[in-house]
Amino acid sequence: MESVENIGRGLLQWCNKRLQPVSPIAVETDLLDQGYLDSLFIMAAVAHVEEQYGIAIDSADISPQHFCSVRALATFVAEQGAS
Amino acid sequence: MEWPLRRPAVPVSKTPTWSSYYLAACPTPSDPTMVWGTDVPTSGLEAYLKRVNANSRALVLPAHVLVRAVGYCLDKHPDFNRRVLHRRLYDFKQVNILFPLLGKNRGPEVCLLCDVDRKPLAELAAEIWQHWREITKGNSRYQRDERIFRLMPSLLRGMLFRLMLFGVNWVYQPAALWGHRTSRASTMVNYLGQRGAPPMRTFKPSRFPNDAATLNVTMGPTEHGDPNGPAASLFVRADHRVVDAYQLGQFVGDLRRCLMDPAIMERPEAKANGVPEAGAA
Repeated sequence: MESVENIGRGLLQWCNKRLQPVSPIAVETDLLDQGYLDSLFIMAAVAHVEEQYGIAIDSADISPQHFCSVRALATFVAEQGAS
Repeated sequence: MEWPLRRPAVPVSKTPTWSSYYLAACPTPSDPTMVWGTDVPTSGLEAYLKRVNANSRALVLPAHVLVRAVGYCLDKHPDFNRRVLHRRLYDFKQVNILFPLLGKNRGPEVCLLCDVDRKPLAELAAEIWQHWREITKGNSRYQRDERIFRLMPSLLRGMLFRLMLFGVNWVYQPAALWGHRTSRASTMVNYLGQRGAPPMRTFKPSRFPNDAATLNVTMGPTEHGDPNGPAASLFVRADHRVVDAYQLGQFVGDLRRCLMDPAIMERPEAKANGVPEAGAA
């Protein structure tokens, strides 16, 4: 099972590549507050996480608590037993 | 099986004069369209989303607020929740909305949201996410129907489409028979404000080739360059056979106020007295 830190690093790299922000996103950056979260990003993030970490994300898991930051998403992925 | 319309038809005496003219004069399918575009200041919407998401189990996005606001305004303006059927107007029994969702590698799929005026925002958001997951997994009911359609030879498919259109536009029928989705809602809501989309200056939404499509609401991306604060463009297309331009103006005005301050949709007095003017206590 991967650690939260490892997952966070991988997700952070993916987010910065995907979103191409003016200044790089940090693990604690509030994605909701900064306006990064939209349906296209969620769709891409869910697909990436499912493919990369081998977990299944249910519609009930798409919550602000899990997607508010890279750290929150990494913690959620680790809890789901990412391989 | 479900019969989606109230009978009898809206009396001719209650149909606006110009709508009667279009009803009589326009062949089906046709597009006697009015489009009203405006800007919506979104600082109130952003603050509202921040507050709602702090306590919500489902992630709530601007698109979900837009759907809820349209449902709220359709409840306030029932004249818009009608459709043309055989040159007459009929009221829908429910406030239903069609909402396109983008699936992975499959293009957008239109889902039907029922009783939108009665559902809390968080419940609506959860329902939309559920539809979206089914669509991204490729196992939604609509995609199953579509697969059956694709199995047919193109000639047969074309004939069946034409038969369906005839039924949807000319025959009072239960929704379960033909075109169950698009004939159960008067309104299509489309949110095109995804990150990276350019500013939207004009937009003329297309419509389904059936007469149930009375209203189409489209919201564009939020622009942050304006010194007066962030704003997004909003375009509403309405069928002139169903409503007049002054009604469209009132509808767009109320919708704009709901989006500027979505909290007014939660106030019971707003439900009773209508949408208050912006800035009103």
